[in-house]
Amino acid sequence: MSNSSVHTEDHNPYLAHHFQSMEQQEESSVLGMWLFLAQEIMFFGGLFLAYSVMRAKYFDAWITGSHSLDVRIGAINTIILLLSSFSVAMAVYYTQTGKKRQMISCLFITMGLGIAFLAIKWFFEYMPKINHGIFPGSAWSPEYTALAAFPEQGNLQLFFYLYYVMTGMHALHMIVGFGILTVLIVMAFKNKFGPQYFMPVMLFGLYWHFVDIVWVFLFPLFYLVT
Amino acid sequence: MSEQHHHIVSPKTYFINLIVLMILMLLTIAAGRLEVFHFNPAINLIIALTIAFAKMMCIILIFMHVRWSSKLTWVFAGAGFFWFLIMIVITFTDYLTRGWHSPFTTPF
Repeated sequence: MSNSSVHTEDHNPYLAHHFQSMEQQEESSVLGMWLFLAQEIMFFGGLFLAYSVMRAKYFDAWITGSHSLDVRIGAINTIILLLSSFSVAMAVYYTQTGKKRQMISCLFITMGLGIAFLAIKWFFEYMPKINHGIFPGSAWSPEYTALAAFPEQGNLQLFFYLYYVMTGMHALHMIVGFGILTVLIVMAFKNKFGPQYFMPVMLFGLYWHFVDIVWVFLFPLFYLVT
Repeated sequence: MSEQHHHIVSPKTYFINLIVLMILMLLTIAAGRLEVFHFNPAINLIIALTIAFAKMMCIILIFMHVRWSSKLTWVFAGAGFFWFLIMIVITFTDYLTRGWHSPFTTPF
């Protein structure tokens, strides 16, 4: 209070007291988020490693399993996810430029595209497969001749085990994203964000883009085995 | 707080990035599904992973703003993927070499 220069420096209401400047605060936020994403790489990394080893060992089962998946649905979902990544990027842009209405629209579009992705996954992929006995474990009794005729059913089940776990974990991450997105939309309506304070939107963007990256690898690895 | 701390990426850049990503996705499908592109499983896997890697770099550098971020962010972003590479390589030095015979042991 006696030192006016210090006071004006700390005037920004968004600057937490333990940071010296907004720049330092933003840098810390981004680094923290990347640290979290590194942990996410370790989490998905184990699954991708299991996939790689099993694929190298049981390649025949992988080809048979992959050919029973519908590339068109996978491609449509890839397009949907890439579009949702674009809309998140645009939400960040509109937050940084202080355009509230467009920012909220972009967040809603992202949510809508994410729900479309999961709906397609559930109604056109998981449900038909489960109904036709394509689910590893005791329920395993595939009705498709290409799958039923495969000599090593256990290896084929391994493929579908990894398919369900990896795409399911990816879907779970999107559902978590919906929760964060809902909070962001409510905060955006309450005028919490603007050019001075956009980090929550930006960090959610990093998370959403990371989930997109996981799908970028899942798509060729499951749908396009040749 | 009038000065700009964070680089604002233009919608045009985002849009071009989206188009590039879509083209790369079409390439992946073409390489995976068209008979002309079927060489052998290993080459096809390398093609698919190279395209996926290119898509990942587009997303990380442009959408995730790493291109305009500090060197420290580059290190944090790279560390996770580098760790993953180490895990894959070391695991496969085992799985891919099982059954190889050591030149230093004699059958006697």
